[in-house]
Amino acid sequence: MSAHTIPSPVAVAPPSLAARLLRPLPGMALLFGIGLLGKLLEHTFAHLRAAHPGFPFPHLEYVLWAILLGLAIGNLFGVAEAFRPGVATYELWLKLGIVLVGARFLMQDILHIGGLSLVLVAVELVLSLSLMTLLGYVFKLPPKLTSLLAIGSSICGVTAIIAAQGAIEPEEEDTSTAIAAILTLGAIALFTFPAIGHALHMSQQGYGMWAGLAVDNTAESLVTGSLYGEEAGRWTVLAKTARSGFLGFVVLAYAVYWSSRGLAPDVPNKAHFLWRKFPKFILGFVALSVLATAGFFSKGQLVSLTNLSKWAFLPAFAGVGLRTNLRDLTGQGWRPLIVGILGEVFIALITLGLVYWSYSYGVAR
Amino acid sequence: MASLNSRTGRVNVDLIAVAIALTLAALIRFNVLPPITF
Repeated sequence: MSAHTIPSPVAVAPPSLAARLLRPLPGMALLFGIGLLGKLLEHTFAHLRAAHPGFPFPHLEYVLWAILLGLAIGNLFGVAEAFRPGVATYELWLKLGIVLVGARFLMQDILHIGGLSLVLVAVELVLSLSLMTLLGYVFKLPPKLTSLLAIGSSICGVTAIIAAQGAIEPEEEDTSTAIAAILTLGAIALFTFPAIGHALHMSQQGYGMWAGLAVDNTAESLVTGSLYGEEAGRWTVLAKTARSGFLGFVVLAYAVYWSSRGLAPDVPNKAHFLWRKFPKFILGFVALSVLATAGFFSKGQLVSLTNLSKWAFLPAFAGVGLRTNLRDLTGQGWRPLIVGILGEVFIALITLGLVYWSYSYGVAR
Repeated sequence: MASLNSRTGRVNVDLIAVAIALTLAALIRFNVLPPITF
């Protein structure tokens, strides 16, 4: 018998603070580089269209350029290890942008349209949760995968699924399948929703509310709204933020359900659970809105804050493209995807109907 | 994604985003930053 020698553990020094701070820089440079290239392409083609009116130059906004460039780089070449920590910061830029957009909403808007959003979100929540549960049962999906799909499709996609993961303890495979399905459906929405909005001649506000209610993942939702127009993107943020506010309650309900069946840990302190799961960036959004309503900023300063939010969204849009893996469209098994597609199409139609109804009856401004 | 790595990752990202946004808003309010264009 040959003697196996077990190598003695090698002490690895933890990376220094400087190394940890420098690690995300290449990926952040990639995110901003793609975003800036998107802006450059938009301006260049606008200039070329003006100079050569007869030639069919593409008429795409920087949002779409940033996503297409990110998709092309991520899917053709992959994201190298050195860039990954920085590319992961797209979530930080996204939330920074959302908080800054808060300054564009006066509290009157939030109370009026936000109140409407809450009613629409409540209806959307009940319908999504019921429908996904029914479809999961019909298609014989594992029960916890069904729960994850229901939570992800009803609230805020990946964040909600991750929040639920610790609470209901699903199989690891269920979590990755649910995330892949939600991201795939988000990628499909990016290209279908704006076309539907244009075909129906939807207003910026109506479309923005619809994108915020129907598209699950926060990043894809915001991009889907922004692809229709800057104003639409702003309303998408409001509807999506209202939806995210329900995260803790829905995850808590599922945690209590699975715990009552002995298949998840108990939740002894429900108030603490709710606070832990609450998306804290909403507080920043509301804080800036309160400051703007109180007249804390001049008109010019509000314009600067709006432009800052656009700078923050620029790398976030690039990040959405970079981390969207087109191979996931087919690599996750057909049943979760069919359940997701059927559920999402139904939810999109219902929320479209809700938005149309609320605007037809003059509830929204 | 930062939130995938740990249970507290999402909270950290949220709080960092809020802290940066409020700092930038204060810098703009007190004219420390010049007008921002896009």
